[in-house]
Amino acid sequence: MSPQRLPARPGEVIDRRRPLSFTWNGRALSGFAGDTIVSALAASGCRVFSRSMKYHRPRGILTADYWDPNTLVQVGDEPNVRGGHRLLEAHMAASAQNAWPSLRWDAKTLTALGGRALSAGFYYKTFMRPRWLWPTYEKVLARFAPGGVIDPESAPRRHDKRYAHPDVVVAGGGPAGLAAAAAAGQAGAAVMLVEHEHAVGGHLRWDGASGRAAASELAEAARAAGVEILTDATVAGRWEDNWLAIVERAAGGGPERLIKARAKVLVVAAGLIERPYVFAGNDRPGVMLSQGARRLANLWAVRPGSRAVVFSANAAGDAAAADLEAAGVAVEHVDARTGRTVTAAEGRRNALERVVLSDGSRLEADLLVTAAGWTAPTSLLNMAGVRPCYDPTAARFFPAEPGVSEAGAVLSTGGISGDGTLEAHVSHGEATGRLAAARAATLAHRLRVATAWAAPVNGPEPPLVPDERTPLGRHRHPALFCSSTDGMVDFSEDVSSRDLRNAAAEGFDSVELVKRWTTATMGSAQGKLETVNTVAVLAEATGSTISEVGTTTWRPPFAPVTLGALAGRPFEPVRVSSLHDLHVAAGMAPISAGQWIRPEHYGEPQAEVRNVRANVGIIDVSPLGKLDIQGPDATDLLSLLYLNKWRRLAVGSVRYGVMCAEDGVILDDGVTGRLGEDHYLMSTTSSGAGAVEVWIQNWLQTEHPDWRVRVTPVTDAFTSINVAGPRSRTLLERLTDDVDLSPEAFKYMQVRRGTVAGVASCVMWRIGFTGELSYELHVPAGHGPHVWSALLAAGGDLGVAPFGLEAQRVMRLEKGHFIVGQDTDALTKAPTAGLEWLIKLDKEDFCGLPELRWALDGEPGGAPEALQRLVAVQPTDPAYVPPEACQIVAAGPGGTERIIGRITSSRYSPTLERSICLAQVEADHPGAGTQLTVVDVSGRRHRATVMADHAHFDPEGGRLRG
Amino acid sequence: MAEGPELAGPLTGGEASGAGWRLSDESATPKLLAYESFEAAGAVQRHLGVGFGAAATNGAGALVCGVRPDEWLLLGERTGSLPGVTGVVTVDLTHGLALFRLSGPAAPEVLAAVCSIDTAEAMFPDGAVCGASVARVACSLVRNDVAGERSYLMVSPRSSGRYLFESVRDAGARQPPDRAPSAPARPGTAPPN
Repeated sequence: MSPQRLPARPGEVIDRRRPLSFTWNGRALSGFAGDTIVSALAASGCRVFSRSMKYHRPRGILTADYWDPNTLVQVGDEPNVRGGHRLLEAHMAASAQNAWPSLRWDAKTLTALGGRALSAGFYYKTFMRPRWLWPTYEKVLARFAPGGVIDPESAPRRHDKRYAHPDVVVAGGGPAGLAAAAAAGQAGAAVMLVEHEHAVGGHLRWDGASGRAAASELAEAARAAGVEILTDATVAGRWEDNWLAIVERAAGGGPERLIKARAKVLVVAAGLIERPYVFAGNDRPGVMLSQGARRLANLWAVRPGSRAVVFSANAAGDAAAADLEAAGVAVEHVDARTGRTVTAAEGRRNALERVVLSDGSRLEADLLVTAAGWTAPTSLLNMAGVRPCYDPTAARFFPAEPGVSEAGAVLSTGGISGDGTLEAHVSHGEATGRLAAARAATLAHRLRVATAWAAPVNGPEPPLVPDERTPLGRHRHPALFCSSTDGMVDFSEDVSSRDLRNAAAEGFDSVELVKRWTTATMGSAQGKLETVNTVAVLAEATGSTISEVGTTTWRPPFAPVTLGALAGRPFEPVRVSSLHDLHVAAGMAPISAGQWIRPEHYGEPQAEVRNVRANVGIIDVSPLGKLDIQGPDATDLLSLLYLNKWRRLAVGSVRYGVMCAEDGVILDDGVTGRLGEDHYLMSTTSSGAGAVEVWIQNWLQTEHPDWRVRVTPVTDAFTSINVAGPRSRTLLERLTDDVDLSPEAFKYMQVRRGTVAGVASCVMWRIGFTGELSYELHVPAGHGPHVWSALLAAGGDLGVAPFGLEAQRVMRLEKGHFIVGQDTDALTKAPTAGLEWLIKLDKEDFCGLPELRWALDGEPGGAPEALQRLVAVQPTDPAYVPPEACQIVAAGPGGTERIIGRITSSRYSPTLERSICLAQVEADHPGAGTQLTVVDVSGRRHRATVMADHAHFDPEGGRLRG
Repeated sequence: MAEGPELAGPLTGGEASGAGWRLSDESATPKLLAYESFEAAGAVQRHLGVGFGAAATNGAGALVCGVRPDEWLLLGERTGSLPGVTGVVTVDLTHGLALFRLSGPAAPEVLAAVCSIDTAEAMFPDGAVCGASVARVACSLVRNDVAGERSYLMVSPRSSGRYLFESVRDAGARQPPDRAPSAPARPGTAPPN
């Protein structure tokens, strides 16, 4: 038996049949299943668990729970683990943080020697000057950063998310919370109860046999009522309409999980948190709060000391004294209600030896337990707009308007709302649960009426039930915050009462400013232990009342949340065509194009280009956006969207079109085929598919709701295959028997519907992005793999082979076809891309008409807008391929250079055996033969020439139209 | 001529299951999108007898889903005949949409890991339809119980189908048995006796 472990006690949560071995700073120790790290260490005789953040003072147990600021430890590769909460596991390797070279002999303690100089604002005041030294300061200060160590090589942890829509969420599983949850469940509500600790019951768990029995009964009632109970979980935040973030901390061995809950009613039953008393030496190991001492003794059978002074201002402190006596601790009871207070805790090294009282007496002790009052953790209520209100009689804050917030959808019960017997709390909790269930029914009715159309919602809306609960009382409590001596207020941040008074003396008389100046309440406990004492010290220092000082603003999260929990399980949709498996089998090198995974190439893109130019290639272009447009007003819609004219497009023909936004900037381009009198198939760029659909729907729904036209996205309905190359016709003829593919019958820019490889209803466009004779097949997607395989099988002797995106990009650049978004940007108007021929200013209207008219014609009597121009460029060195986005410069005034453009696309052309580019240049530099200077990323200059045509290859288009 | 030699779903033969849930690929089901008539307002809705947000099986055995106020998705039908109704546009989306069925008593729990829709009986009963993000894929979600067993249909763009299937399957695999709704409370949730 370890030295401080007590014999078996009723109510203990450890399983003595399951010993667990672990290490602490490399030393082998053992505990039991059910122990926390801290309880196991305390049972082994450990008194010091950490060093404080700034002064490296030795720290012992304060609260022995999640909020304990003194017991943050490193566990394996995980820093800042709350040792007072984290359950012990076999072979756990725990170590102290913030100490070097060891916890016992911490060299950084030397910083405490300058403690008086290291008061609040020290860093701000000291390291401001000289400014040039800041990088050095920063490096040195970083070595003093508190906290544990992150191992970048650690394996990623699992995190998860879940959505929930309970009628009622109860935050807190103490007696009132359990009663509220059970009552709400019994009233028919779907209830989720969220408990911060590892088990429900609140203080009843360590409150003797009757308390444990009551907790058990309440928990059973909740379970019987169907309440979903989450333990080791926290309602971390509350936003509008009770949108709650609930963090489940790796419960049951599962992943840490963030639950996004939309509760109709939130019941806050967060209980009370005991606050420390401020006096000299109050952070010395051996000084702890009464609830911490009771938890240690009653839950984990740990004797916290052998000779204790219990400084008590309330029944909880009295109970702690009784519990310690029952555990064999010699207890000296100091009753604060008689006016006696503690003024100092003294000792040597890391141990408490004596307690000094306000009457001058000194009591020998190795344990000082304080029970000086409570803090109501009203954060969740504050997030709902309820301000905390100080009651000097009870010496704590209460919700200003308990039970009234956001249309009654946030309620509170339990200690946070008031005082009373266990029966009173349970009764109040039950009333709260019934009220919550009734109000949830009203809110659920509203939601069903608004959103649930599948089933009729019967009856009128139930009236919102008024709050007729009997309020809990408020017991008198001594106003004990700070003794006559200075002590620690914020244990996490090493902020003392002296620091706070100094801050007030420097003019920081607002609690919000004091918080930011001193960092009080900003540590790991997030104000749960420190806020009220901070306010009280500031009130005294400024001659104000606590009510006048008020509190800081409590924002989410209620408890610190890991970044992993917030990130949760990432959802990153991936789209693949029906040919994906065939591409993988063919050895594709994949590339992400938006959400799509596409073949960039199948081994050698340059060879793929040569094969298409010489033989025939096939490429999967399924991501091309496709929209089915039907209705009598379909042509009007196209005329509105595109710059060019559509009324005379014959059925069976396709036309290239460019869309601009209202400002004349190019939005998208593509071809559209007329399949019937009132039926078109529009294609868009792959990346623009979604935006174009939204763009069209926006026009239809806001400007032309009267138009009889239906637009359906059918991108995924087709597997789109471009068959390109001089032998493409020959290949297709082998697989098509109901479409005449002869040049006379099926001309360039025409569309046919027919059967390919036995698959009917294929749409065939004769177009050519690559500049070759080519056919774009749109095959019903489920048949895509069959048609793709058939094309490869039928064209073996023709040299057919698949080609990827890279080869396509090379060939389109050879042909001088621009890509929207690559060769254009958010300022590129249609004339920049050389599209004047497409812009039909004589049309009645189209998107961008006024801007483009102004750009082309200028203001009356003026000149056209001096727009940049898209030009083809060839570097003088045919082997040099300038990186895309390289700047193009020209001589400026005074020997300087100025930027006149940029390379937008560049590749090495295997067809031309030289480098080729597209570039945007200023309006006065686009002439053929103009010499340009291209600056690469290393600053070197390269000469290049502007070409006469966008097309570097086959500018006449003979191959395309062949 | 028959339409083609084969009709493959995005996950041909796809099937996954776990404790209380089952996920199957029904993408080969014919699917027809029908719009409200241009010429006779409300005619299609009257003919189909199903409003926005609801689904019901028609006489031909197709499940008619009101996916928008003026759009219906007919699952199990690809050539909609709306006798006597003019000005109607229909589009065969059999190949364009993936269709998965998630069923079993734990289906709501699995869905809750990837979708924010409230699947409570009162909010989303059998026959309910809504648009939803499932693992960040825009879907039509249909409650379509089979023989009294909870069942949800998820209709997504075909190209997202494989990702969607795998995401839902993964969500199911991540469901700890002790978090299933019918399971007893976890150890440790009870106060000590």
